Amino acid sequence: MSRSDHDLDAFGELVAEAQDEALEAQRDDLAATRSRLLRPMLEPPRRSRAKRWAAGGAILAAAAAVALVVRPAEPAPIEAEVDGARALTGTWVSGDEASREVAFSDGSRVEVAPESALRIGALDADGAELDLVRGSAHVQVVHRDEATRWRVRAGPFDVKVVGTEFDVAWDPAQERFALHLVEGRVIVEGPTVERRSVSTGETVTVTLPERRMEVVQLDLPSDEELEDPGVGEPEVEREVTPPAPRTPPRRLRIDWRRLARDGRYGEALAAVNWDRVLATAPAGELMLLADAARLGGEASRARTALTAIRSRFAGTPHAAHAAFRLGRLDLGAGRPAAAAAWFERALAEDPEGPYAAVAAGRRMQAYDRAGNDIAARRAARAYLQAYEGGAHTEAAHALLRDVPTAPPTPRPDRSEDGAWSPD
Amino acid sequence: MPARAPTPLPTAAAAPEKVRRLGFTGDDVALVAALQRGEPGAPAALYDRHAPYLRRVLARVLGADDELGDVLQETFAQILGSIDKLDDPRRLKGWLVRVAVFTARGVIRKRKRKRWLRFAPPEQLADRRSTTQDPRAREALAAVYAVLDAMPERERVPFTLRYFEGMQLVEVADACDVSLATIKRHLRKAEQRFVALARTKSELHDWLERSRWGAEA
Repeated sequence: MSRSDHDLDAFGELVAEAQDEALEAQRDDLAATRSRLLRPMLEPPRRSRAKRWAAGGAILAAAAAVALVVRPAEPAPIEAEVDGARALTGTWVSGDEASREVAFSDGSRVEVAPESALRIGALDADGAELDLVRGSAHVQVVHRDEATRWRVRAGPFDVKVVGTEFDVAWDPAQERFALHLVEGRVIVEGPTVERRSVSTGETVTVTLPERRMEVVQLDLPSDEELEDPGVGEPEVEREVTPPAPRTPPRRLRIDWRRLARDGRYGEALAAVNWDRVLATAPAGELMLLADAARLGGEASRARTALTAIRSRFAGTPHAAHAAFRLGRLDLGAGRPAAAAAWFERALAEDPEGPYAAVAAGRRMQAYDRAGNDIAARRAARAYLQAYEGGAHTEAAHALLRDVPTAPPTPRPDRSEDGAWSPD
Repeated sequence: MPARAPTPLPTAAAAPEKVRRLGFTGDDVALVAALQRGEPGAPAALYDRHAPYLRRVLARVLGADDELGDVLQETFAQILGSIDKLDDPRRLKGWLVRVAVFTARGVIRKRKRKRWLRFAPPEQLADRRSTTQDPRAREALAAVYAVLDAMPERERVPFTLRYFEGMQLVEVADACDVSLATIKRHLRKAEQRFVALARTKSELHDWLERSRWGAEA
């Protein structure tokens, strides 16, 4: 323990808490590193570079020869660009921390949300086929003529599009599909959904493990929510405070996520399409929304976003993380008993999670503030058993020392991991 | 006592041409035995079981920056290459942390060499970008690691393990491969140095105030 004016354990807890949040946001790094590390052990040896070049050369030569004798009979396929760079069929677009945009030569656009992965499956003259492997995307397809054909596959679901604007999400862990139609009409097919037409304003969610489909008609967002009128150039498309109006005016979307990350919480909360994000956004985005609401002073909206995570991602570490955040909200709002219950849930649902030590410390603190001495001491013992030496060690010892006006009562049994449930 | 490096790596066994990925259900002792026998699913099981914790330890020591994934990969490459030298499989976790700390030390030294070569402040060299979503916390975290960059490695490493990761003194000593008395000495100096340097950073004012003795957490 420090002999300075500062409790370095408490300081370290602040560092750890902020850092855990960053690590949680970068959770995909773990999978990427796993893949880089283990792929060489799992893949068969490749051909030598010289052989690959030779084979590639032969294929190119053959293609050139075919091109000389076979004239193209069909119009050229549409082209795609990701962040300004040409993207071919098979290109993966991964929104890790920020969203990514795919722009097509026919004017269609796809915005891939953070923590999402999308593959360009095919590009042809009439449209494109996209595979949303994980997360969510906002899709705007330009209807050019009757031949326009676009498909978006989200996990096992197939969304057939003619010309429309929609949000689509697929969570492979939860086997959950969601689609919100902003404008137009699409046909959805997939497990438990037998070729269903979805209309403007409808949200379809399918939870495969429960074989449950829900269709909700949401209130449509106003144009003001979706547009920033009077902005011209594509280069400034995401700017919220754009230069003077130019002609022709262009419909632009405000990216609430960027505003939230820049610390402009009020603007982010004003820009977000609340219902749509709650229904379709991935967990990381909902957590960002909860943070924006909390830091923007709107605790009840933060609570709504966290509750959405609990309901949509139940049984995952995201739900446990949301419980931890709800506990912190309640503790900060002077509801220590409710906070203690949330910390209990967070610990029960993810006892080894990155927040476990902090949650165990906060649980003890919450019980103490609630005046529940018995539970506070029990939580203190559980904390010391699991995290002796951690940031709350001193406080735990103080709680256990600060008792004996009455004879000691027998202690209830604790589970091996120190977790304790009030039930 | 100087830190001892983990045993040099033997050459990795030739990768089998076709491997079925199977779940591994044994405890750590069985896992080490499987790794030493070269069972195909064992490296993935080791990674899945211990990577989240080791990543957190590395983040505590180095900061959660863009290089973290690379450092984690290097750590596991070291681990998988030298697993045959682990004498007591029951102490797997402590050994893994020691390898991670050893790897992190190499990264710190490399960054310091860069700094001397370029005469630039540390925060301008490595990308210290953190994806934490609160900008104030992000700035404070960057300031914390700028302070740590100015500290000797022998103080920085135990300080971060003790206070940021919340390890016990014995665990910190084991991770740093030095005696308990040595680690206590290093920590005493580290505490004084860290607080003195942190007070010069305006970004840390709030955290320092909140961690003042008697302040409300």
